[in-house]
Amino acid sequence: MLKKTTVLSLFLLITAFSTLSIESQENNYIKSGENLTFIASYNVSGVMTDVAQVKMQTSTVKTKTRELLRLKCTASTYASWDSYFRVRDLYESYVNPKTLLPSLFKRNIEEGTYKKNIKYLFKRKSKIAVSTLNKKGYKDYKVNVPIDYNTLDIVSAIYTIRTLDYESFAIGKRVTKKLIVDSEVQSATVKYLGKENIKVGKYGTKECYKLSVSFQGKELENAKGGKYIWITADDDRLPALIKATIPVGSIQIRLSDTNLTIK
Amino acid sequence: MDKTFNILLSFLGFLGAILGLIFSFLPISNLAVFPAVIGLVLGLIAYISAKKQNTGFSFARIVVLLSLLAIIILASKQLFFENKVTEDIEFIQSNEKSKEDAVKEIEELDEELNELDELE
Repeated sequence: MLKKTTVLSLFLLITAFSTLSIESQENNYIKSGENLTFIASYNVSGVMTDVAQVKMQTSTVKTKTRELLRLKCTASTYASWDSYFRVRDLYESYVNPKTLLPSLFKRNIEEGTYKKNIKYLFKRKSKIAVSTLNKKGYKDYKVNVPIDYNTLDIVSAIYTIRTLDYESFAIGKRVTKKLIVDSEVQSATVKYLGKENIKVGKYGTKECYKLSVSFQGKELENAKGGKYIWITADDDRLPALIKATIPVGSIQIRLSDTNLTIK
Repeated sequence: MDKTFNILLSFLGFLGAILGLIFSFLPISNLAVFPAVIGLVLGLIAYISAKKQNTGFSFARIVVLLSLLAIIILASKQLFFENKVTEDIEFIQSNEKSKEDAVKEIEELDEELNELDELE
């Protein structure tokens, strides 16, 4: 039921939303210490079943010479699913706190018996990302992937989308950005669909920016069907709801808890 | 309805009830609602009909009871059980290790990052 593709779609999906644009957009929304918890559900035959918990956390990381923002996303199946299909995924991006441009991205996934570890070291000056892959049959397999100055990874893209100036967007405005996914640069487009009021768990009904996401690229095109994200239209810009259609059923990721005070 | 039809209804209801019971114990327990309700409805029809005809109704009664059991298990899970993630020490430790490794890897980039900072 909970297949690898479904789990991947959850993240691609999230990713999707990530595609933004806006050259070196200044970050005024994402701060260190933010903790968001989501419930990921799978919809089959019109019945929604909660399958996993997704967490998005930010923290400050210090190296010898600088402070970076660590953007961490984890996905863990609920205990009731663990004996059938256990997922423990870690996605993390180390970004410049002002621009959210990543220096390092790491993805460490464990989905059932499938394990994969990939990282991208962004050498923006040289315009390459050094990709290192570890999985069955590959050990420290390195590839230099050509990138642009503003190329993002999945996680930094998710966060960057929250920093866009939607108040100035006309309905239908599209923003496209390049992402590095599975050692390939692909592009994704976010379309602004206007504002909508939706119920955000225990926080009640909130006004949100509604966005649709589409992909161009071998890997991401597999995630066909409608993909939408709602971001709260307030100072926190929280991703309140994500919905996507997948080949079998659909998935939904909804905000369930946060350490921020929602007005 | 004749006796054969009653038996057919009871049998179909029984299948629904069993499916409902199986689903109710799985993580996808929400799906139990469909077969369990079908089992309950068919079982009730067969039970009432058999009682009117004064023929054997014990199988239909079992179908109704099994369907109700599946619905009760499903409702209890919905009302009293909260989805929780197991505290996975190994996963937490690997997250921390990943962070420590990341700091070392980023420090390799320091010179380049400093130059980019100047450009920005």
